[in-house]
Amino acid sequence: MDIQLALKNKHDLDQSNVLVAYNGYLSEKVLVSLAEILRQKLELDQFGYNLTKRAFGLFCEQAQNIIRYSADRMVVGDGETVQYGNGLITVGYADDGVFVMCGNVIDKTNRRIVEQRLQELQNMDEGELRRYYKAKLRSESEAQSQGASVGLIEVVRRSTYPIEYDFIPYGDSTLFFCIKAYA
Amino acid sequence: MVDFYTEPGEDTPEIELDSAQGRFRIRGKSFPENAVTVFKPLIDKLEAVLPRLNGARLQVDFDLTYFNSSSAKALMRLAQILDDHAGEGVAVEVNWHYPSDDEALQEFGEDLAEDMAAATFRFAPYTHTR
Repeated sequence: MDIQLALKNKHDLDQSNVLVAYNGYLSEKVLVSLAEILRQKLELDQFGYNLTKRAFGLFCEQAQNIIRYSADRMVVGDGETVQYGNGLITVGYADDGVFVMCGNVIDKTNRRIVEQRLQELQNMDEGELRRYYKAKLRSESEAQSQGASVGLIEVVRRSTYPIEYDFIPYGDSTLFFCIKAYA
Repeated sequence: MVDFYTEPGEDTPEIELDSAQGRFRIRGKSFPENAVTVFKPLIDKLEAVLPRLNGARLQVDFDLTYFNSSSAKALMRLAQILDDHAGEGVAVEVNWHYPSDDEALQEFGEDLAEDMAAATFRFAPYTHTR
């Protein structure tokens, strides 16, 4: 990549009112730092307690999904291992608030289950989402999914406008899966 | 003697369990990617301590400003354990602290309270400083 292209990328992001952009391997530590910068910036922008907290929450849930579920992973260390998931985070100003858009690659074979789950969630009203969230929290073991579905429920539930998502071809056996939520 | 204590971290809450004083408190933020690693040692300790508190009082203060879904799952589990022991003779009194304009925290408190029929559950809204 040459400098001109890097600068063009920055220019495009700035033009799109992007506040935080991150592409690459993401760890919990980086997530915590980015979340804190985001919180401080939104407070300075005087977005108010509830919007700032919603944006913070959407950011954490979505970024943690990258760490957990990205098909492009890096695991480092012996004994205490650190898990990195590769993904793309974009947070920026929307018309009257903030958008949080996160994506990562997934195996093509996982598309059906994820899409089905998202459609179910999008068809629920506020009360149904609340009850479903609680039921999922109580169902003891979701060891396999590490609570994925609860994170997704929370994203759908907290987004002030309906979430948007897409699955875009990316490589032979993988798709780029992306969710855009609004605070 | 304090049975269990963890310092607050960047993404983890301060936790203190003091059975001699009849106090259990969780305070701050909780959004580790995998909350089990934070809450499992606490849950193990609680399960060891609670049977000894039959007939005694335990004041529980949930004083969290933000928690992620992974931590919410752990809180739900904590509520179930506390309520089980409340049913068996521990006088469990829960205070749910939250900023008065934080609907999400209020709702989660309501959802926890539903599951804690044997405990006394009190909502403790406060006006935050900002």
